[in-house]
Amino acid sequence: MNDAWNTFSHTHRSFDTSETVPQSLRNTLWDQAQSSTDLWQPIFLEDADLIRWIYDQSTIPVIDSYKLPNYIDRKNSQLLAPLLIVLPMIYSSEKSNQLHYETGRVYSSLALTAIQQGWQTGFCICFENNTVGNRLKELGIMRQDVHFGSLPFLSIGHHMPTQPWGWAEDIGIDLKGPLKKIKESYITMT
Amino acid sequence: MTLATDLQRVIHLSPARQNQICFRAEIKQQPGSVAVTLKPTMDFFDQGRTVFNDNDALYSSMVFHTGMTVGSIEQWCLAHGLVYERQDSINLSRRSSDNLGSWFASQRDAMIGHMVGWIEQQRSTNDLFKSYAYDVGKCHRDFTLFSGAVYNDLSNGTTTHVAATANMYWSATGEPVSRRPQETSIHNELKRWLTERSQVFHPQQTAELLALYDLFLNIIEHGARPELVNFSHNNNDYIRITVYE
Repeated sequence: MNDAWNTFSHTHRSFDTSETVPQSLRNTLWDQAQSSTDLWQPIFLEDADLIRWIYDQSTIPVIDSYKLPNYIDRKNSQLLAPLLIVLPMIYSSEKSNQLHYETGRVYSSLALTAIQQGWQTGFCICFENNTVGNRLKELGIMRQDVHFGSLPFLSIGHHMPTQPWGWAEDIGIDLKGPLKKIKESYITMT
Repeated sequence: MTLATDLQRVIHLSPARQNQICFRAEIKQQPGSVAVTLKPTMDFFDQGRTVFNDNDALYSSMVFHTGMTVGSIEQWCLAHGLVYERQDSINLSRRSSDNLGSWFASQRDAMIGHMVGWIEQQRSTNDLFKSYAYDVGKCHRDFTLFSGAVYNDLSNGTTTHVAATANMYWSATGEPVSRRPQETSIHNELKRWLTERSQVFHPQQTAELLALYDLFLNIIEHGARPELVNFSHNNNDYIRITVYE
């Protein structure tokens, strides 16, 4: 199996935020994200201050003990990346599932394009989406008629080479787990 | 590695939400091609971990992740020069589950009150119930379990929860629990009572409610057979990709 798909399976954290995604890759991704602008608004974020502010809106509730002993408070460091992409949808409740399905397909296309050019990706849906959406609308970045729905941010960058890919810098813990808790029993082959 | 095992690997390497699986996948090898069918399902989803407040938002997230897997397969085919065809059926809008849960919760006391009265009446008029002893606390427990199961299955388009609840009338060794004829009779009465009030549902939900109740009674009488249990979250939603060798 091509290494790209192994990389794709990981949610990388603690990206090197001193980097910038080159314009050529950014343009390629932007063109791909334009494929259905009647369904979504492509938003690409590279402003480091804004990205850190979004990261600050991703505090995991203290009651959540996922993977962590002692209920450690934390944020989703996969959001601290040189480039964040999200495709908020031109919302229609009747087409909500179709929209989520189509955006899922495009997220894979974007992520694998970046990976095949040597970059790494992460995904994060655990952020205060109303707060973030309102802020992006106030800033004129996000249209008033679009909606995050159940979409994550796609982050693109290189994780710090001195750390494992699942390293969460804010708490100093490697959050990578097994690829999937459930093995391949959900796939039947005949 | 065959094409089928390559596709199995591509599916398994697709990023999953919190390591959880959002679909079932079937890979079928056929002459000259491999067909992959993905059906969104909550079977492997730990709802205790979800941040979503309602089933519709959760289902949307699952469809998104199913779409990511489809996109990953498509990119893999393109990278390997393979021709593929895709057939989607993700265009169904979700039935609204609004008010269903609160309706069942609001009716629970009335439902229990009606059934306790009905059982009391049967004890004096129906030989089947002459020696039937009951406990109001257990009535409360059973109807709470049942209404929760109906709510979940109506919301999700499944039969899993109702089947599991009905199967409690059977022991682990496959023997029916005692008092099965009385339980069947009680649930027939409850079905009648619910049917009278089902105008609060959408007509499609009313039909599904009655079908769920028939399933429930069927399992109480005959046991849970695999063909009776639909685990798929919405069995009309699927994506099929045929990849040609």
